[in-house]
Amino acid sequence: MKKISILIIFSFCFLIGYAQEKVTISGYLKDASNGEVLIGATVVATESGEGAVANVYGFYSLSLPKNEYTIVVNYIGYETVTKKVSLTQNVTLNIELKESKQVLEEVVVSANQPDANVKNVEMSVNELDIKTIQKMPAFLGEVDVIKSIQMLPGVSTVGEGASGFNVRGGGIDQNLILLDEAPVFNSSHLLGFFSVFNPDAVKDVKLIKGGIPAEYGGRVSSILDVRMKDGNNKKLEVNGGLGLIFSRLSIEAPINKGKGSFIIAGRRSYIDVVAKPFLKGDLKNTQLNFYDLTAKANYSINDKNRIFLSGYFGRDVLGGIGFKFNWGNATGTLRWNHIFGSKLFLNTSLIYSNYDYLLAFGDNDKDAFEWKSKIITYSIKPEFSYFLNSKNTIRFGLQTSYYNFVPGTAIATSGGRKTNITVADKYSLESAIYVSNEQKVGSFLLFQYGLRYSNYNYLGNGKAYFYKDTTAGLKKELDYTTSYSKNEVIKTYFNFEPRAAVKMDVGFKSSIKASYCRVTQYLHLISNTTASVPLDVWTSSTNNIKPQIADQYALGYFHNFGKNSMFEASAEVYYKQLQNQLDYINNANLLLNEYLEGELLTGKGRAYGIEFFLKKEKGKFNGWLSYTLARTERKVVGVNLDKWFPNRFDKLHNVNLVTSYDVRNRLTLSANFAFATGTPATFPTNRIEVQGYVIPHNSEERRNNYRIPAYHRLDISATLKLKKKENRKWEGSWVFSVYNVYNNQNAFSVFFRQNKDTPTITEAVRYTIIGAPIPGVSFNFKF
Amino acid sequence: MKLHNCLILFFIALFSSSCEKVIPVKLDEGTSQLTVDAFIDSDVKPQKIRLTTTGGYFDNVPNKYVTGAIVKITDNEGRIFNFSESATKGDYIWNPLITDTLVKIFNTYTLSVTTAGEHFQALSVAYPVPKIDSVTYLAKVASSGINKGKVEYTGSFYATDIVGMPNFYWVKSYNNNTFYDKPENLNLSQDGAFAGGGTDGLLFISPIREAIIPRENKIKMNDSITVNLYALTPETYNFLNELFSQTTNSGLFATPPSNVSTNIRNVNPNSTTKAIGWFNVGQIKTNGVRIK
Repeated sequence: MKKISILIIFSFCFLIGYAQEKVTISGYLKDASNGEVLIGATVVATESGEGAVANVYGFYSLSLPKNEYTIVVNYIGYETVTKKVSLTQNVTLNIELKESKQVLEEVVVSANQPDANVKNVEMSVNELDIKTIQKMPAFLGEVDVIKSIQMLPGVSTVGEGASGFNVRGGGIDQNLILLDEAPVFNSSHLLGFFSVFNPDAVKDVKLIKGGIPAEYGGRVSSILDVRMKDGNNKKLEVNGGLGLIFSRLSIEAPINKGKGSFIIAGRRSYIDVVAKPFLKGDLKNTQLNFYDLTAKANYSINDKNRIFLSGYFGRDVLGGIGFKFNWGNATGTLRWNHIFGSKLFLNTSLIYSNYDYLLAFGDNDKDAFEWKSKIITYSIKPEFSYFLNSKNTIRFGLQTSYYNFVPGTAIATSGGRKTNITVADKYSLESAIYVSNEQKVGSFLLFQYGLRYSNYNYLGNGKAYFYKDTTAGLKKELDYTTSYSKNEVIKTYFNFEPRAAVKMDVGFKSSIKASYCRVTQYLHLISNTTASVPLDVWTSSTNNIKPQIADQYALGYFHNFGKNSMFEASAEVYYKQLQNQLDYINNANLLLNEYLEGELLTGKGRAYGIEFFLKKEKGKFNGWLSYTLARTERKVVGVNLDKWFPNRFDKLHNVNLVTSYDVRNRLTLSANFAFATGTPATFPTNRIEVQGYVIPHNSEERRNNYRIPAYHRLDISATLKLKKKENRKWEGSWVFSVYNVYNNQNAFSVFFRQNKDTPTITEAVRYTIIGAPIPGVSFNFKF
Repeated sequence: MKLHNCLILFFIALFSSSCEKVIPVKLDEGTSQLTVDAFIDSDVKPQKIRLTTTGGYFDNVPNKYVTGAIVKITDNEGRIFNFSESATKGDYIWNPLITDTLVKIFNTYTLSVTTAGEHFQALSVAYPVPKIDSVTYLAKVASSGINKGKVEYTGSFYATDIVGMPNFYWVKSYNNNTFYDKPENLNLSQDGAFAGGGTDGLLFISPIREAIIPRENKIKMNDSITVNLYALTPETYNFLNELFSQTTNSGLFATPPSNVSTNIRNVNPNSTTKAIGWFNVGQIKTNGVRIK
């Protein structure tokens, strides 16, 4: 490992040594109508063929020998801008691009337009812009970021209503979900039907499934990077929607004549309010709703400095007589962009994130139960991008996060007497430094290589528990405990995480890419249910729980074809090995259990598959088709006779079709189709009778020995824009949708029970979450 | 565990579009195993141990009984209680003398079963239970549910957890001597509260007190309500919690099914014949009320 580090440092020195004699053109690329930065827009100097790509803040930097250049700026869906520039010294050139009038018609492209998916070194990455997401048929007519991602290759879910998503056979807790860089620990509203991301405030969604760059770490399966809109800095803009289940409103406006801008977006569901007249008696007081508020402001102090402040606050509320349950996230990010000279870009972020829930029973003071749990993160993250020359872009930075885990503050009151059944807080500090370089070699090779070093300290104050060894699969008995004072290190882990990727052009429209990455995860979600519950508790790596480590290898072929590269196609194979995967002993007690670590098992995992993806982004008819053939398995001593068994989210086949057709200027029709192999489940072989109860029994002790029926579903929707009128300042559109059109009774699970009337009869029951076609309608407006 | 499940039931009820349908599933039948069902209490009445063998999950007939076994319980004082086959096939009975009881608090008991050349044993300690001070009921006109508009009864019992060591209880309730036998009515308590401990010496908490009569019940005037408080070993408490999880494991948040534990061991560690089931000895106390 040391050798690699030295090598990297040496190569940097070498690179810097010959980077003279050139001048730099740099600046921001923005949308002309609202000032939103254009992430991934490209700048190419036609004469030399050299180019640069705008980073997530819209900043680009391109170093060229002194000369006259024709600069071409491109971004999909926008009109190409061409500028003559005479480069004799460093130049700042901010360029605004106009949205192409006929987005839907084929965009006129210059010969130099790079086919981003083929030309980038990035692989195993899917980027969705909010316009694409908004076209897809949605549950109850409400578009959703996470539901959209689930249609991508390599992404799946255990079923409708389940929170989160599974990437390349990983658990939902193995995805790092970032909202403007703040980690989101529970991305779902209303269990899994909606996600916390308000589409009105989202600009761009990027899912990284493999070849994870060195600047990211902390989760072993994927990174979901959600970037919020900056807000319109040209004029006041209001967007909103009225739907069956919730309504939305967002306001964007410039600050100080466009030097800054802000956006505030809110949503509130009203299922309980709508249902109230139909509920009687005790149920009248039922509460079931969610709300969220997303806000962001930015201000450019000058050409070199820009600050951003963004935040999210949302809650789900569930309650009735003598019962209260609510949960939600709060995040905040303060960012400062600074440009040193014209080549070194710095973003520093201060991040706060809090996920908490409260569960309470009892309607009087004498008999009550109240339980609170949370996880709080404080983070600082300076990140540098050094646009060394047109061949090399170096990124380096660090991140430090302090976590406070509150597994459960619980008070039980009975007959007026209070009893504290709290499980103690945990603390930890996670730090990482990284450096990486993206290097062009010759005209057809592009490398990205880097190293991330991560360090984790499990801190006091707290108690470390030590358990006696026992037969695998049984509860471990406590041996002794040791107490630690505040900030004293209980256990330290560190890991070197090498990352590498290469792209090689094969002809003009094709490329082959390969990548390797090692990623470490120090936080774990304790959950053994089919779908994650809001009550699930995040926990630290400790002296008993080791960090999860994943090594992933991927190889892909990317090819664009058709007129103006209207079709993008790719095929990727991947193989993943995972260490220290958490599993649980039979009938483990995961909640409010001080001795939880004695009921955990660890094992290893492997996941492999091939993903095919065909996408058409241009033209009246667009969408994508994806097919994934994959396996994900686990081996845990003490489970399934110590043999490999399929993970509960294993799906061999997964087909997704997303299409939309612009019938006329005002009408768009869309359809989605999804098919997936049924998830594995453990079915009984025998029955035991004890005290009149009939208990299912699996005499061979096998895990996941059967599969529930395959899943398939069709959704359709139609979007109709209102006719434009001269004197009307606002635009509106109707969205009509039907989810699960042909009413397939998809099994979420199959379970076994005694017949309610004749308990000696046992039966298998298919449990369906959405057992009907669900129509939806919403009205969206903008002015 | 139990609290968790209450919550899940609540969630499921909220999803009106979700539905359940009984479907045919073909299951392979595994090896049949001896099942011992031995819950012994301090009541002065015949004590029963039932021996069966596991059947295929969908056999839908009672499991086959085992006859010709030798069944006895001994305790650390050297007392021997022989259980003999009764007229009901598979049942083995010990009949007490007039005031005799098998159970002496804190004695250790060994169950021994010999059948088909194999010898099985299980251990249990008899724990005490507190007295049930009273069983009460409340009549109220139901605003919803199956008894809407009619008088519906809710019940409660009052008892205080024994101070000192952790105590584990099974609260068994009966309507006109018919046991509420549905898995979801299984009412277990640690130190008068749900699992977790730290509630030593507490008055049984209201969710446990009130669970003696299920919601939406069919109790009428002149019915009797009986509550038995039965002592469990910590291991039995775990076993019954597992039984509860495995028999009510459904819906969105189901856990991967796993086998319930057993404390029945083959005395010969090299034998491949294994038995399952449970043995518990504990004190029992009873109180009741008649609806008037």
